[in-house]
Amino acid sequence: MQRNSATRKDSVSRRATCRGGGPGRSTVLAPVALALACSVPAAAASLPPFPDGASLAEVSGDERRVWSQGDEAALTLARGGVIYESAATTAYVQAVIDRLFPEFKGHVQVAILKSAQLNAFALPNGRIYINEGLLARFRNEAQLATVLGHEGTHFTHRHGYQSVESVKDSAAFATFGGMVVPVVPQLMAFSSISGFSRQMETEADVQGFARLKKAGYDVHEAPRVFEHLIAEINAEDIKEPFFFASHPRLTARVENMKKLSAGAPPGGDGTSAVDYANRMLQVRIDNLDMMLSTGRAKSALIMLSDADRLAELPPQAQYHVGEAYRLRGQEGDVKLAEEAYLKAIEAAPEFAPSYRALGVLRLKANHYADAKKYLERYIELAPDAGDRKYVESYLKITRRKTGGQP
Amino acid sequence: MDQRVDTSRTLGPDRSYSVELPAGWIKQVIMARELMVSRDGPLLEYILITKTSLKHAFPRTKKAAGDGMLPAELAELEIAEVKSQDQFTEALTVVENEPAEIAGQEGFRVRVRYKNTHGLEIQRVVYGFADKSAFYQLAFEAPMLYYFDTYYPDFQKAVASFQLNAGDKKTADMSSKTVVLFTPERVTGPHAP
Amino acid sequence: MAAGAAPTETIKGSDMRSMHVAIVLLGAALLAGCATHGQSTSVNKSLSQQPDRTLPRRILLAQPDIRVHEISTGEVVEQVDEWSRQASAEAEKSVEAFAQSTNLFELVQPAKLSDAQRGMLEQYSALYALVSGSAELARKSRVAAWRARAADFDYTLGPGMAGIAESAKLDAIVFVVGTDHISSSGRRAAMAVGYTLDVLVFTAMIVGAVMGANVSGYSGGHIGPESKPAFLSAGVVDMHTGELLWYSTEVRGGSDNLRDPAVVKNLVEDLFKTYPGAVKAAHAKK
Repeated sequence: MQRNSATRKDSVSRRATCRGGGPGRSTVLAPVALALACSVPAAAASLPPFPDGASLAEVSGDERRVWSQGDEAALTLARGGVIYESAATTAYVQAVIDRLFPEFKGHVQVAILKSAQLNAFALPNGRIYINEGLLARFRNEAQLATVLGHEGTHFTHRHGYQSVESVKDSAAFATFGGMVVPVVPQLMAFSSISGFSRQMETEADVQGFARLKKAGYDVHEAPRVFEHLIAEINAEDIKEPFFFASHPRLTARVENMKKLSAGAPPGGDGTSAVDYANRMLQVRIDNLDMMLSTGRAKSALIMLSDADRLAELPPQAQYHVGEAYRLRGQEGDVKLAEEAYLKAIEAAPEFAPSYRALGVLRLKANHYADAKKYLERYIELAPDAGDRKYVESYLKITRRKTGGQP
Repeated sequence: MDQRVDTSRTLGPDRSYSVELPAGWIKQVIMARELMVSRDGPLLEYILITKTSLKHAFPRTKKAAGDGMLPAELAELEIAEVKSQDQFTEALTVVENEPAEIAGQEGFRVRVRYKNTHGLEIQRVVYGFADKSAFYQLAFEAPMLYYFDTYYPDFQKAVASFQLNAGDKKTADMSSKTVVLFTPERVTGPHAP
Repeated sequence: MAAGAAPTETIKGSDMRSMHVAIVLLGAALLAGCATHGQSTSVNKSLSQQPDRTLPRRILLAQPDIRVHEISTGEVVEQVDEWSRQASAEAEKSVEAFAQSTNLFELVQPAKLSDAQRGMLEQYSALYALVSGSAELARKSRVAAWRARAADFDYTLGPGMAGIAESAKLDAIVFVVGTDHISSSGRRAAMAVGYTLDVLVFTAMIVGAVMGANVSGYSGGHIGPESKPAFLSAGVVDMHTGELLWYSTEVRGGSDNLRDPAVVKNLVEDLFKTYPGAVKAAHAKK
């Protein structure tokens, strides 16, 4: 692309002009002088957004190169077994983004990733990824559309490509101990870990919001996406790429969304929590299992403590409540876990894991007769359970202690 | 310099355990705490034996191995730890999770599978147990294609031979200024080539 | 040769129990040494011990995979698709030309296989990356035990491809893999100024490996605007036994780069001159 060639030549000639000394001057001071003299990198000029899908065929040169990196990243994700394989759920999410970006239908592809992390990102080639963790958090389609509108705008407004070019320019001035860094991990990092520049994030919020409105969604749902998630930033100690980057940034974005939606009339599509819950039931169950199996007990509890959310889950969800308390392991949590398991047994008496969980707690509390009762019921209900050998070892203990047959 | 072990029984870095390692494999001690052996290179297969304090048993998920934890609870934390490693392990499948005895101690055996960035399936088996002061982990990882089945029996022999030493339990001296990262030795013994 | 797995986490002291970290560190330690310009060839010891063993006749050509990158002044690496495609196509032509001119083997194209067979071979290609990468790391290692392991060359992919070999009447598969990093004009300008920085080799290798960077072209001790050599490798795997029969690499610095078709052709020819059949034929001529 001509603009890029011009930009690159400008950058190189500017660097040559800024160079503090002539060739051969290789003291440590030289790079520092260079940095001081040229502290403002040659920023990539803002590019016009793609007008429609047909315009994508004209992508060439440096931008096409960055697209190829995106293709490589997409292939890596596909091969790596991390795609959440649910044709129906994926088709539903795809339909939402197609409604937001109708002129790009067929060119913007969405996939769901098997991850409990609250994350979504867009690659420069039009591939958008959203984690099951984030998908499970939304209460309705309008909230999903808020995030997809934001990510889709990163693509249509060519933020990925511009960010890569910007890093290449700025790194030339700022990085002296720098390592050779492949751009593919960076593409994903731009979208998720650190976010794009403040200007680009604001643009994605504003333009994404406009898409939401144009598509007929209830725009008052936009700030609510963020409100729930603020609590989760501090919930876990695990560091992770986080869709909303940092707390102050998140708070600012909540305020932005509130301002944008303040003047909008009430009403709009996509507010049915019931419809969304029905579509996302399996995603939510899978996500709960994923959260608990990756140590995210505190986040699980934040979700499960919401009575409305809990009501949208099947009756055995009290088992997950119990597991979350058990794994959180704070003072008093054992009692809370037991109460939850008992509720699960009452609400879903054929759901086997509740019996195992309660049986183990009773075993650890040295209530062997109780433990035996629950563990035996577990084996009755789930004779082929994968953890049967553990349970049988526990039953040996209980039988020994209660004088029963081993 | 190629330092050769002159017995087939190898002591752990802090001498608190010993184990028979596969003859002909190359042994390396990492950060004075972890013992790794591999025949063809860790990209293809490796056995890793680790001993940590209970408090630092699961550093990524910041969980401790509690005194009195059931083996299933330790296994659960171990699975969470592996899942937290990266995007690809987060999507792993738990193939097996069962109680196991290691060095006369009650522990667990977990078998998980995940794919690498090239789509190659990798399998990892971890044995683990805790005593009053430490969490021990014996792990084997290899691609499913050829390598896992070929060398898993060597790992099983190592696990069967693992013993805690009742005597000298001196911990590795981490106060020295020079940290030797790798101490390569070739395992020799009666069956070494 | 890029490592098969691509850890993406940052290494912290508390993560020492991580197996991935251990692998990365070990991999880095194995490699911790300078990239040597020139050629290295290994022949499977089973072949060396049986000089009269019949060499494979029908050899499947796996799609050559050569990745040519551009490095910006700020050390940002981008793979250039067009350059990579051209270099890979040139490598394919050169291997075909070698096969035809020497008649040492008959090259078979993958198009003749079924989808299922191609799928399985993709898995074995992924395994080849790890096997050849291990051989490479061991050869270049500063650790004597690993160098000795590499010298005792018996690397294998296992016999899992035997079924395909039987049904498609193949004897072996040849892989050609390469990488190059070419400086942008801005970077070449920076190199002229002579920036060099002392960076711990370990740290560089660890970060390089963690980020999935190709470690094969590194020279030890200096990370920063510096030329990176072109790296090309070829390997022939017996599809019945899985043995990596022959593995050869060439590293070329200076002005040679894989954007130049003549350089690719020359590199491929030089690599295949070390193929056991070619060596035998060359000896016979003398």
